[in-house]
Amino acid sequence: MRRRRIGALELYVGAMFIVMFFPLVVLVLFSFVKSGDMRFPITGFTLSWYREVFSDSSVLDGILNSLEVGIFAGLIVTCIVTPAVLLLSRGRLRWAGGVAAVLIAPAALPGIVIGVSLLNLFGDLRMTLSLVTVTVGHVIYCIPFFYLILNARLKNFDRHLEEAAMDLGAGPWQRFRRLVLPLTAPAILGATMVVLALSWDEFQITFFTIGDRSTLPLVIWSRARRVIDPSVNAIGTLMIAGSLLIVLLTRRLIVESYS
Amino acid sequence: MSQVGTGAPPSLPVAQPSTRTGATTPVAAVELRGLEKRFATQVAVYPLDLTVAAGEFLTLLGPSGCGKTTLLRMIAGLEVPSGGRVHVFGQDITDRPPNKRPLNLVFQRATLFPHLNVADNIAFGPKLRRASREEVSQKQEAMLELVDLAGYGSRRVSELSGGQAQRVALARALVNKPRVLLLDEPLSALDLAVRRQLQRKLKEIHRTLGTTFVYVTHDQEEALSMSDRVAVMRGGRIQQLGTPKEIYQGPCSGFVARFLGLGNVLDSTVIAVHPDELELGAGALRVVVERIPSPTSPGDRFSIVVRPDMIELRPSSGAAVSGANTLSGTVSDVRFGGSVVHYSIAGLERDWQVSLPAGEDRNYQVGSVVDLSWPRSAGVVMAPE
Amino acid sequence: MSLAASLAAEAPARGRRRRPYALLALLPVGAVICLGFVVPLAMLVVQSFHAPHGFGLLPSSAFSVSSYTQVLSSSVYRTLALNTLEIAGFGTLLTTVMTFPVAYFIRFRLKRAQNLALLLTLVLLFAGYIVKVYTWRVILGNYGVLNSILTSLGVIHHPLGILLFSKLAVFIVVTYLSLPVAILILVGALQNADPALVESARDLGAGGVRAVVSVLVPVAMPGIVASLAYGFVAIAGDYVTPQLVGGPSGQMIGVSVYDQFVNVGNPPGGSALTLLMLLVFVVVYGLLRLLERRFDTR
Repeated sequence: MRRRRIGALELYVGAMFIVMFFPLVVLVLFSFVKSGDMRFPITGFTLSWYREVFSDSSVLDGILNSLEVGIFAGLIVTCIVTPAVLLLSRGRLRWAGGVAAVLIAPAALPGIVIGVSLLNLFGDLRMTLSLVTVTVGHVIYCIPFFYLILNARLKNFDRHLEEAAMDLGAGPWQRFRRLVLPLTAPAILGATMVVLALSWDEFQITFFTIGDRSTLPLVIWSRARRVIDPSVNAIGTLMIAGSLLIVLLTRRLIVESYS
Repeated sequence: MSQVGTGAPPSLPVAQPSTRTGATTPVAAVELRGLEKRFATQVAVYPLDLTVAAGEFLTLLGPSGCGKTTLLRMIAGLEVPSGGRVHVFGQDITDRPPNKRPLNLVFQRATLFPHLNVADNIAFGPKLRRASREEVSQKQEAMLELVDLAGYGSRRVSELSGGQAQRVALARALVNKPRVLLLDEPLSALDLAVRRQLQRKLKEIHRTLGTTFVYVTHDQEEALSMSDRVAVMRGGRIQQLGTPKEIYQGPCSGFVARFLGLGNVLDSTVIAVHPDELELGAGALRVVVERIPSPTSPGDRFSIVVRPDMIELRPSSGAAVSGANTLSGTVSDVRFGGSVVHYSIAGLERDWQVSLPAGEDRNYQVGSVVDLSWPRSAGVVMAPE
Repeated sequence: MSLAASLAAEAPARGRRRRPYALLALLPVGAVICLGFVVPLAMLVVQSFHAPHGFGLLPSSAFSVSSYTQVLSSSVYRTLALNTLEIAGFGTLLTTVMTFPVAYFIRFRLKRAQNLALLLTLVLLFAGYIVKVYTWRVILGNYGVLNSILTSLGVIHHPLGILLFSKLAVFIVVTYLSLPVAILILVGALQNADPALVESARDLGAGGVRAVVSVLVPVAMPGIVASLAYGFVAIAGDYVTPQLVGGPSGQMIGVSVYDQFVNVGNPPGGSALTLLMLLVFVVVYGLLRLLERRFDTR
């Protein structure tokens, strides 16, 4: 194999990645800086912003709320979409394409449309906005992604495996318990983690459907209205840390679908 | 008298005496009556009848797309027939789902469960029937012994070679003591050496257990060497059913002859009918064969196959060759097949296949001119295509 | 059609028995999508055909297109719409063009590092929407990182005011936000492309970039279209970025939708705006589909 010289493409891609990570690096960096106004030169390092953030009840509240919504949304999406994917990817229904289109539809619209339509709905139903309404929004938002990811992984499910199980005497429930479930559990788990990551980060729908509670992104928003609030650096870093954690946990399950 | 194959779709066969027990068993292992499979665009299997005797090794042989796999899957219950019934040892199982049939299928690719190790794969069937732990481990050991994989129980599926995987698949099927074992081209994805090894193993197991085997393959050598009877299929129909010897020596049609690897198929027309022989013309060649039982008259058309193993070769004398069952040609290819030497000879605008036992070979070189000749009995008359 | 193909097209043997199970499996998700997505959208449509009103005023229940006429005749909305189209259109275009080489690099030039690169992209994607917008606001500010770097390098002498609270700022940020998704989509689209295609193009004499583009663009067209579509929709619907970094000249239509619903209390007006926005999306999707079909290599 001849060794590649560093050419224009490599430089370009390197530059792109630097540009993409640049803001995040800056944020994380300055969350540890004394002055906190994100200006060079750096005055000194400190953990005081983190101390302030962790003692702030509204931030802790935001984290808990985000987790609560994320976990519930993850559970709900997993429970309602998994049977549909199992059916669609292994059977061969004539209207499978149509069903898939309906399931993917929410991803074709920006968050504002979903948010606004739900706000309207809840208004007409005279429902008060709360974490429940937020969870509804997140569920709708995440269904397409859960479906796409799980469907992609399950498409490679060997149909002959089920035939072999049938041939060996397994009825439908036995096939599910002993064959389908063990083989699909990792993929299902991976897709659930993706829902968690999406929900953790979600803002544009949440904004319309949340009442006076706050999830973590909303905490940042309310502080970001002020021109510069240094504690946002710390909160932002925490958010990134949370996302990183979730992504790393599902690393093998998501990235494998590309190779 | 030379053989004439029927060439027509199979007639209802008489119950075959079992070669295993030596006694005539009235109940067939598998009986198919009018079994057919139609799809929206075409017919995969035309209505057919077939009887497989208990303990028999029957092979469905044919090119891809001929319906042999569809037929097997209908017996297994993985395809729903468009018509007809399937009986196994007297019971009509046509409406039963695959998990309720006393049959097991070995797939083309081992199709082992990837999340279980070898032993658990084998134990899949017994565990479904809630066998006790001792029973399960007993069976696992016995099966691993049977397929020469003792000690492989804890191996993962991904660690197995192709041949090993198929052996596990075989064990997984046999552990359930099926009354009939179905095999769908199980060896086609394996190397030659492994294939030979497993062919021997399969025959051994068949002899030991006495289970009825229904085997599907497109490899005619495999079919002829392993089976008690072979059903040659084409386009959804059984063209010929018989023992390997019967169909090799008496192919009923040009298709069967060619599929079995018999070359030298000629289109010929009857020139004259003699008391004990038939004279035909195939282009410039005159062929004489033994008289066939059915009445014929000049002008009738038949396909003839001249058996490659019955043609004699002599160095050409230089003089023009005349007479029946003889011609001159040039050697175009020589292939060594171990104990047999195969020659391809170009003569009279066709390629002739001649197989000589190695001991009788005179080492003809490519390009040398030779005379071919064969006795009356070397020609087999078949229905015209 | 060969027998094998027709065999593949047939429903599984147990297909007929599966039908009752089918409904059960699809019921929960179907109900949720119906009640949480389809119905609310329908309600928006209905809502949009009412007369506009505001908080404290009684809504009228009569059918009316006055919300639409109000929106369509207003020059403010027209400016906003044009702004939005401009930013979203150029933004998604730039995103796709900028990320195509990156996707190419990841797909064809990386072997062991490929998973790492994709992982990094995923991390980037999930790193937090609001966090990124906020960070850019600081970076682009008069005393922000960008200006201070440029000043200290001597490139400029006064901070560039235009960097923040402007259309340019919005453009920069929304483009930035779309980058990770575009990379993932394009890498996915290039997965099925045969590397040998590019080599044979080079072999036939096409220069480096030309070979790549002429061969891969048609093959990856579905992914390119998906990236363009997704980018356009996501950018056009963004109502947070304009509020944080847009200033008076960088506003987009989404902000008005938000405004109408939350501040003014005018659901019909907001709905009308939303429906018009959806209409534009449909048109854009249609155009992109035409583009895709033109390059259909199958």
